[in-house]
Amino acid sequence: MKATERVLVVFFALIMIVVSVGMVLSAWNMITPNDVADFMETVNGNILFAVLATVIALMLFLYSIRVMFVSTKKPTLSAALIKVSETGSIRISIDTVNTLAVKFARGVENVRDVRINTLMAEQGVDVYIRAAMTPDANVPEVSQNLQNAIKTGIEEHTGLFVKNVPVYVDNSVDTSK
Amino acid sequence: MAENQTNYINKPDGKGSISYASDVIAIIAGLAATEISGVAGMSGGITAGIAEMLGRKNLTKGVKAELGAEEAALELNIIVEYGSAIQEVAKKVQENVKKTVENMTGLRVVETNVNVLGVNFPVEPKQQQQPRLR
Repeated sequence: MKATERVLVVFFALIMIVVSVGMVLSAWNMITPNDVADFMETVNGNILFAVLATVIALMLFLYSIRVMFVSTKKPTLSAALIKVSETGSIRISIDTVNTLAVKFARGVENVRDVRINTLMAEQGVDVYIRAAMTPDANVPEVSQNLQNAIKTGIEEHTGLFVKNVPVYVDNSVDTSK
Repeated sequence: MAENQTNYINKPDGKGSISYASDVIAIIAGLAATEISGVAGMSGGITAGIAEMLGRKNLTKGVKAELGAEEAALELNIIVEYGSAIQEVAKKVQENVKKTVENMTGLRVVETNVNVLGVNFPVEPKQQQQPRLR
């Protein structure tokens, strides 16, 4: 999900939270019409509020429109990557790259378990690793091994360029996937 | 199954026409692809999987063939064996499919796109585990 989309989603969610809380409070008479009237009075004519309200409304409006259009788009092949030659193009699905990355990662010594997320980057992929290590592991060393294993593994087996391999060490990784 | 297009027409020497159903091209392409070592199979997605479980064999799964007046464009969805060099396998699939279709049908293959949709892991024989719980 692109960064701008992400921001809009969070924003949208926040607004919905505020609206739902407001609805509950007014439904159970914790906000009286008087409160609302007072609020409206203080706020009417306040330029800052007007500007803020317009900006928020605009963002909501844009996001709603976008949501409507996205849902009518045909679902694309779940994120495939491209290599082009004269005979035709070769694509590899993100799922496949992810599966391979997990397999390579598990082979690294002192790595107890991993959860991997692969994302497309320009000219290649970024492989985000969340790893749980054995208690006796030398964390910087094992992380480095992990990064190397995945980068070389993917590049050799698929020919795909691995741009970044961020490793997040968290010993509570649970592979329910 | 999608409509079986019969778009391709080749008129050699005005003696008559030869036309191919796109399914025919798809089957040839699919077989040429699976011949390559490192290819575990063709990927038909979820619908193909369910249809196969119900007993219907699908020989054209994983292949999309677009037939023009004199040429063909192919798209193949494959599953590779774990451990194989994927880009090499994909390239061999491209070449073999193009060659086989061109030889068997006389069509000119303009483009052969290959999508690798999955990896097949060899089934490891599981050891019998003693049940720890009673």
